[in-house]
Amino acid sequence: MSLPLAAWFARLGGVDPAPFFVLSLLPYLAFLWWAQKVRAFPRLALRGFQLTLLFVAVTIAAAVVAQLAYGRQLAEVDPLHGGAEAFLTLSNLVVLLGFRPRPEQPLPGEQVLRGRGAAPPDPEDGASASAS
Amino acid sequence: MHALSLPTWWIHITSVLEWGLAILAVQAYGRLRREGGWRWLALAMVPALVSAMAACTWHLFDNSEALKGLVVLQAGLTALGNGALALAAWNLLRLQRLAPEDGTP
Repeated sequence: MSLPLAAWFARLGGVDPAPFFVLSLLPYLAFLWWAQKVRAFPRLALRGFQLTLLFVAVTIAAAVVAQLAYGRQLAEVDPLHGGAEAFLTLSNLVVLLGFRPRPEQPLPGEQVLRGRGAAPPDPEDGASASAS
Repeated sequence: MHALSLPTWWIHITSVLEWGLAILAVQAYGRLRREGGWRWLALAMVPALVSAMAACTWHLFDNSEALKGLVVLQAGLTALGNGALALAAWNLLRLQRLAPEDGTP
């Protein structure tokens, strides 16, 4: 049972991972494109997801430096590796903070109630709110 | 496990923990808003979590050449996960357009 799996894993190791990393960029850009059109998507979380692109850019640059200056892959040059990965720690933190629960967050449908409670309904305000 | 210095390990572990917590936060966000699309987004974030764990496992074993399959797994799951993220965002947009009575924030 474990033997075929081990053989498959060994074969997997012979595959070049680079094209998958390159290919994964396209759906990620599509993700960002659609996500920014979602009005309820927390803007801070969106920033975090965008920052991930910075992490990718820094990682590529660091990998090139590791190869040219040390003739090694990025994971073998610890300061470059850690320095690049720190950008992912940052972007993930921003994503997490973007989705953290905020009590003042307007709920769908609740906005109307809150608007009524805060001020007497102005017919013009109401019209513009429903139009937008 | 000495291929990585302690600070570099912490950077890795923190990233993974943050991503895991972000998945839970997205789920909670959807519950709060009573919108199902966010649960799909949370689910779409899971492949990247597994991908990160594969990468960390590879580092744990000193970036062993024999375990290079983990890097390929990481790459494949990244591509798959990003595709899932794109679908989840598209789905959120679709649901937004299906509910036009929902006010603009």
